[in-house]
This record gives sequence, C-alpha cells and structure tokens, in this order.
Amino acid sequence: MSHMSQLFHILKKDARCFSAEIALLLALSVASAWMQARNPYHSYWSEASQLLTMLAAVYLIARVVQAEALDGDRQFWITRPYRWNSLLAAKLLFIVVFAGLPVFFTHAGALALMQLSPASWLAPLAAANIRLLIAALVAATLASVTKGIAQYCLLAVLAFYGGAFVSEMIAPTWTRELLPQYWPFLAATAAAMALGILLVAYRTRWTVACRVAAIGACLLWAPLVSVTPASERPITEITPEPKESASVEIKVDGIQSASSVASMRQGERRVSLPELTISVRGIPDGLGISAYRLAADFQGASGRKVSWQVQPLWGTEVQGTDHPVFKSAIVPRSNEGDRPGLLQITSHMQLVRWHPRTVTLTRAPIDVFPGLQCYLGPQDRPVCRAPGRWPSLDVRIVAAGTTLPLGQPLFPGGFGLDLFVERMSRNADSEVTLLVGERLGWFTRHTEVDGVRPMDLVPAR
Amino acid sequence: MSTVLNARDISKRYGKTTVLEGLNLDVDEGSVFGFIGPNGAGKTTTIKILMNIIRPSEGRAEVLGVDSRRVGPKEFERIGYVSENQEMPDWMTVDYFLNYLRPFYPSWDTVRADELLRQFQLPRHRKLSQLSRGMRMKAMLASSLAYRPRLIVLDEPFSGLDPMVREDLVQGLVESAAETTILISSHDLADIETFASHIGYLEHGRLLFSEEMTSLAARFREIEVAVEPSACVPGGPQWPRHWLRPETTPALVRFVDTRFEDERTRSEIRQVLGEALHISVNPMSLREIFVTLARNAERPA
Repeated sequence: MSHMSQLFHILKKDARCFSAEIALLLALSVASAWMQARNPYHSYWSEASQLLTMLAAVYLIARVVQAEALDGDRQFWITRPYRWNSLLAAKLLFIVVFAGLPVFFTHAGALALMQLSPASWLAPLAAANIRLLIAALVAATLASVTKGIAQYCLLAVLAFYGGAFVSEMIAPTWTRELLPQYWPFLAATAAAMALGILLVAYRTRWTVACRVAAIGACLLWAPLVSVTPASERPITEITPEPKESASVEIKVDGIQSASSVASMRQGERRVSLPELTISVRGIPDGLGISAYRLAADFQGASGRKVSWQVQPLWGTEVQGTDHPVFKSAIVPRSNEGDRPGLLQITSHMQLVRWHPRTVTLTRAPIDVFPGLQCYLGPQDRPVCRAPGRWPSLDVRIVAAGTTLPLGQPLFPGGFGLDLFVERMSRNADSEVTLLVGERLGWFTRHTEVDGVRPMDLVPAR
Repeated sequence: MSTVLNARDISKRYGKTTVLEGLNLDVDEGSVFGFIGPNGAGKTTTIKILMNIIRPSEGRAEVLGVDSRRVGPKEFERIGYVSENQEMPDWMTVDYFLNYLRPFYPSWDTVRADELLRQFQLPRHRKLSQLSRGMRMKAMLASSLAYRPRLIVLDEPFSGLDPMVREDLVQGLVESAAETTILISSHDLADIETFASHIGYLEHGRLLFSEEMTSLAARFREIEVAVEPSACVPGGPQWPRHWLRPETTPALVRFVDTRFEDERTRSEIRQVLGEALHISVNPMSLREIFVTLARNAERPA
C-alpha cells in the first residue's frame, strides 16, 4: 500500500467514523453564516453560533486525531502497518477538508447572502481561513499529545494559563493587545512550533516528551508575544510619501509634577499625581496619529529600574496639525528617595491617513474605499464590511458633531469575517459622512527625561 | 533452524523498579513458544519490547532479523499481534474492520478471512463494541491470521474466556501453526500444553529456562519415596538443589525432581535417603510444573 493510498484509506475511514460530527459542524457553520447574514449587528446569538462552530471544530479535530491516539501502548493501530507520515498527512488533510473548507464555504455563503461577491473577497477570506487553520494546527498538536477529551481540555487550560502566567512574570507591561504588525510573525511561529511537535510526535510517539514540549511552546509563545520588539524604523520610511511626513515631530512635554489634573485614593488620603503629555506637532492635513501604548521606566538613585505601563491608549486617534495625543497621570510603583534619576518613555504609535467620504447608502453594497463596502442594513442603519482588512482600516462615522467608531470586528483575534457595524442610531436620510482611516505603519519613539525626581513620580503626601 | 525472535541481555527499568533483567530469549522459526510465568514476571513487557511498543533500558532484541527498535510498518505486514487488553475501533463492524485492514497487508487472503469468520462464528455486521470479550478476541485473532503472518505474538489471549471460546482460539492457532511461528504468553497452561513446542519460564524478570516441551516434560517428575518409618531422613539443606518442594512424613518423602533421569535419580535417592521401600515416579502436567516453580520462588532462600 503506497503512502498516498494509505493516506486516503485512513481519511476515508475517519470521514465515515465522524460523519455525525462533520454533519454537526456543517449545520453549525451554515447556521452561523445565516445569522451573520441576517443580522450584521453585534448579536449574542450570532457570536454564540460562531463560538459553537469553533468549539465543534476543535472537538472534531481532537476526536479525529485521537482516533489513532499516539499516547498509550494498547491501541490496535500501533502494531499494524501504519506509516507515521501517511497517518499525520491523513489527519491534517481531514482537518483541512472537513473543518477548514466548511468554514471557508460558509463564510463565502455569508458574503453571498450579504450581496457581496465572494470572488472579490477571496484573498481576505483565504487569509481569515489560514488563521483558522493555524489555530486548528495548534488544537491538533494538543490532541496528539493527549489521550481523551478530558486530558486534552486540561492540557489546553494548563497551557493557556501557564502561558499567561509566564508572560506576566517576564513582561508585566504586556497590554494583551498585540501589536498587529507582528501577527503574521507570531502566527507563523505558532504554526512552526505546532508542526514541529506534530512531526516529532508522529515520528517517534514520544508523547510524554512532546507533551512537555507542547506546554513549553505555549509557555514560550505567550512571552514571545509580549516581548516582541516594536518597529524601530524612522517615521519617514513608513509613510508612503516622505514629503508629508517629514515635518511630523513627536514631542514629549515631560513631567508636570504635582498636577491636580488627576487624583486617586491611596489608603485614606487624597493624593495628586504627576502628569505626562505627549504631543504630536506638524501633522500634515489628512494624516492622523494613533498612540497605541506607552511604557515608562524610571531608574532612580539606587540603580533599580522601575517599570510601569500607562493604560493602552485606545481612542486617541486625531487629525489636525498639532494635537496632544496623550495626557494622563503616571502611577509609579516605588519610592526611590529624593535624588533625581532618568525617566525613559517608550511609545508605540501609528500613522493613520484619514479619508473623508460622504456617501449615499443604499441597500445594495457600494464601494466606499478599496476593501470597504457599506450599505443600509436592517432598521436602515449603515453597515460597513471589510473582510480581512481589519485592523488595517479604521472606520468612523461623523454624526452630530462627533466622530464615533463603527463597531468592532467579530472575534478580535481575527477569526471569521471582519465586520464594522454602526452602534448609534442615525437620521432617516441615507447620506452619511464616513472617515476611513488607513493605518500606514507602526513606529516607536524613545524619549528620555533626565533629572526627574522620584517625588515627581510618587504621589504627593 | 533460524531464529525469528531473539533477545540478548534485555533489561527494562521504570525508575527504580526493574521489570526485566538480562533476559535472553530465542524463538526458532516454526515453533510454538509458550511464554509462561507468574503475574508481574515481565512477560508483557518482553512482548512490548519485541513489538517496539516500548524500548528496552539495556540490551538488544531482533524480530524477523530486524532490531526491535526499528520494527515498523514493513515488519508489521508479517507480524500478527493480539493482546488481551488491546483497544479496538469499537465503532467498526466486524466486516468493516477486516475490510479496513485488508489494504494494509499485501498478503491478505480474503478466502482465509472468510473461513476464519465462519470458523469463529463472528457476526459480520455487528459493531466491535457490541461483541463479548471472547468475540472481540476472535475478531482480533481473525484479523491477525488472515494475512498469514510469519510471526504471531499473543499476549494472554485466553485470559477470562470461557472454555468454548478458548477451544475455538486454540483451534485457529493450531491450524496456522504449520505455516508460522507463534509466541504466546498465557496463564492457561492446559491450553498451551496442547500445542506449544517450546516453553520459556520467566520469573522476576529473568528467564529461568527455555526449552522444548518434550524435554521439559521429560525432566520434571514428581517422586514419592516410601522409606522405613524408623529411617532417619536428613533435612532439606542436604538435599540436591534440583529437588523442589520436598515434603516428608515418617514413612514417605515426596519431592519434584527437575533433572529426572531414571538411573541418576534412583542413585541420588539412595545416597540421600538410603534404601527405599518403594519409589513412585509420576509425570507432571505443565500446570504442575508451573506451580512447583512458582511456589519454589516464593519460598525464602
């Protein structure tokens, strides 16, 4: 029996064995697509159906991998002429054919139901499904080194919480909001780790060692996410038109100690906190800046470095020529005496090019921006869809003198179709002004402020 | 005669527990090798090492001329393995199970498979999960005999089965014995005795002996010696080491001679016990030999 015929022989057997589970996954996928198409707004039912679909897919993957369990010494197949590479390939092919393709086609079906041509969204659909397949690969790896669903779930929980714990220990400034430019790298790393462990597990059946490796990979991967360095490229290189960005200047105004802008309770006393302002000046028209996160280190007289993080800076997108991006209080963690020290501030920012669009929406989708289609959804509320383009696009609606973001993508980790939905009620007329933010690239700025006295950082008594 | 299986100085340790220690084993081609020993002696561990299910801590074994650590798909095309507690794909029917395995084996004989199904009275369309323990063993055996393997390894195949099922399994094995080599570990010594050509006895991870069944049956005898009631019978330490389980009463001495040869045994009796009134020599079944050896091992040194 050749490798290929053995592969298809095992695949056929698995398809027959798990026909009920496959049918259930298909039914859930169809229901999920139908719900997405019927109700483009955020709906618990829609999200629950997607979550159920994912759980069904993960369950199916675990069952099919464990049908020929690697762990143990009593399985019938280990003393039969199974080739490890045919077995592994059969399992991977099963995952692609019976878990990946149904999800792909139901996504495509959902698009079609939403009057969007699946053919024109093929690339983002494929990208979304590749992300799903990487997640499936990780699930298959955990299944291959465990025996039974209970052990599988236990290992998954252990790996997840272990990773989170180690990550917190190694990099306490991790925001849990990954810098999007590293997603492909991190996804590729996860896929490579998973595939490596799968290959070793199937080749050797050293399941204990592979289980340890799988936990180790999970423990390593999470810190890898948190310590992934930010881009150090100059700002002029990441903007498509250097002329526009050459004048952009980022200025940290430094410490304004004992400001009364912010206050908090500490013990029984009211305390005042120092305040830090980061300003961006000389932003050309049409460009904006988005501060993503900011971390600060203070090295006091004792030489000990104290690190802390200011809350992630969502919602600071601006446009204009001169704008404070960040203005808030810093809460230091340690009293370092009175001698001045060095305050280092690292900020991750992003340039955004804003494209105002005033469009008249109809029930049929219209192209508002490359990769972005909008239409009037149920209750005549505007719906914008940008499959696969999140987070490269940021869509806002201008109404009543204010700018509001249009919803969030479903599954922020990038699963499923990315969807922007307006969450505010709007006027009866169908003309809307949208601001489409095209995220251009990330950059990091390091700023040092010397001579900062710890008392500037410590809440005043 | 070439050997199909051999093991040299095989040891297996789990932490500080030694399961096998310096095991040497040879199984000749065409033989039916009964692998016996008390519980925990290391029979299953030995078989798992030979089947490359686990690896030895030390030593080397060869199966069909291949290092046991390299036994893989190519070798398993010629090996049939049946174990008492093997997990099976319970969702399959008997028919589907055999049809599923068929393409894996180039030498699969469909006619033979049908014969085995009929012989074992296996219900073709019943799921494996719905079969009794005996029927499952029959299905496993049928799936392992249908491709006429060069070597069949059975680990406690008769355990917990009723006599009828055991008879069916033995019958199936006997029919295949002419064209294959069989290694069978079992506690069911009466069944093994009927068709084993060789016996290996394992105890505490060591192979105490491995020899032909005829030779084993010839050298083990239960001896009863009638002596004068007033005769002074010496204590056990002065007896030959190959006299096992000695029992003495005022007029009778009973023991098992493990190196029985009529002339030599009578001469030894004279030397140790003096003139006997009567000597009775009784052949022993494999079960009696097994119990004698096991009891002897339990006795403090």
